[in-house]
Amino acid sequence: VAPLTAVEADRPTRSVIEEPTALVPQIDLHALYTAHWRYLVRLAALLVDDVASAEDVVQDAFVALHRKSAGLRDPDAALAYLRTSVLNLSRSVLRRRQVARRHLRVAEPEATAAADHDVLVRDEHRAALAAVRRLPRHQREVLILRYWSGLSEREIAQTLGISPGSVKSAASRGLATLQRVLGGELS
Amino acid sequence: MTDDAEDAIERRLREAFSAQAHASVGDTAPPPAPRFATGTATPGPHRRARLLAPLAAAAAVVAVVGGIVAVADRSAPSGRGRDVAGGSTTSTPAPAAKSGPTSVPNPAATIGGGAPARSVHIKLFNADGAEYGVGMPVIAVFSGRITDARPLAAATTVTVNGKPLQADWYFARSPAGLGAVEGHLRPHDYWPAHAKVHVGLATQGVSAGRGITFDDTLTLDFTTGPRTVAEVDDASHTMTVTSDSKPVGTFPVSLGSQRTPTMHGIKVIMEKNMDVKISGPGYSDPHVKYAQRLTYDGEYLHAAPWNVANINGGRDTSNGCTNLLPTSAALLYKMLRVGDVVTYPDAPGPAMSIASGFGDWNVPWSTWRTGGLVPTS
Repeated sequence: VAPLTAVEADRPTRSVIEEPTALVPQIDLHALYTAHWRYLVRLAALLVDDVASAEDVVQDAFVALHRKSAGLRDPDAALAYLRTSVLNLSRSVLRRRQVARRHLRVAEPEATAAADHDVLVRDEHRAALAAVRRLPRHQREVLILRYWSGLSEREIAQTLGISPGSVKSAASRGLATLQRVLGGELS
Repeated sequence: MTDDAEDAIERRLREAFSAQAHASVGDTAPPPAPRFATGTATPGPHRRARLLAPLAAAAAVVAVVGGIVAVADRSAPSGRGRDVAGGSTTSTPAPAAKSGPTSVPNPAATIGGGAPARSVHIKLFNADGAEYGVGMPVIAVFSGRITDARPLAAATTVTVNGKPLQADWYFARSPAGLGAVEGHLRPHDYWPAHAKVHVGLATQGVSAGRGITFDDTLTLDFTTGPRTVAEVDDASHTMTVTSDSKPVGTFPVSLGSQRTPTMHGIKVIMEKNMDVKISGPGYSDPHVKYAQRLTYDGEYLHAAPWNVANINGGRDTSNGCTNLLPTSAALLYKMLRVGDVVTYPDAPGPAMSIASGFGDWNVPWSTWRTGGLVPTS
């Protein structure tokens, strides 16, 4: 039998719960944009390997959120939504780029989106990044979200819409490949 | 691979990612102007352009129109123009956004000689494109005081599936604290079920009283679901739900105890939370499941696994909430939507009103049509 207090008190007092505000438009998109623009552009840059596309991807992600923001009240949920958008939009950038490359291959044999900003990156990092770039898409995404975004397995699973088990196996397969490719260079 | 090797590769990845991330955007580079706010967002033509264009341009338009008095003075604060997330959509959509502020007539400029008109900005509470229950009022909030709602009433058009429907404004003190008053718009009876509702407020430049003009024009498009009404009978301690006149089911409930009686009258589901923290005097439960809010001060429909004996035993023991068996609560949570109607004809508590929630349907139509705190006729 439940204690009496538990039976009695299911009616919140006005001050305790976050009520009227929960019904008010709450997400300040501009604040979100200011707070997360840099993080998201960096994430997108890691995914698509070029800054201009990355900035585009982030703008599109915010436009998508703006379109949807009526349904979102929680800033954390908004960030999760943005992150997933960035992932999805980055994938389409890569897909479009692959198609473009197939068509441009003859004309522009060197046409590659690989980052020109790599010049700013040290050699040892460049080798690692190049190896990551050659990984299958899922593995690459999981590694970026894990080792750059610092997301937990569960968060990565949510972002990518896959199971935590797939996250775990993608990460370990990706790491194993990198280990094999880069292992010789490690002391 | 050994742990050491794994650690090494992980560390190397972290450093490499971090290096590339920082190379892509420095720590100080300022973000460019967000595209969602510039009106240049151009959604693909294959998308729902009619719905989308206003949304994509809303921030820009609200920013432009919101600061209408300050058309020439861009430095004037226009903070209120920034918060458009609530689904208040501006209907002078993409074209107005693109042509910019110069195409917008400045009402302040047309008032010769006198003090400049104060402008009031309207925002709608409802979300564009949403599906609501048939009891959902359209709620408008205002950035400043309005003293005459007759021009607003005249500038308001409501159509249901393309046919005009009479709907009227009623103004009451804002229980959510969103300004002095809230305007609620509703027809005589619940909205027709399974319908497309369009609300147009051609209010930009329209008077809101002496020396006050509205500075924005809005539209709202939403659809209604089935006509779902739940009636809670305190005599039999049951809740009977019908949807489009078909019975859905009858569920045992436990309502508020004598000390904290449940309010009587017509309530409307205001929001839904899968998992909500509810607390009261001497009590706090951080995880109440399947909670559907009916009043601002916290009457909910929710699962009350701790109170099964009293729910089945027909005893009112709650603090005002409608306690449901977990199975009923889950089913109702799935079926009911925001805007669905829940009536309490014989509950012993005080009368439900707009001050407590979406109590719109408790106001007699004759009273409603006077406009309440701001005259509409």
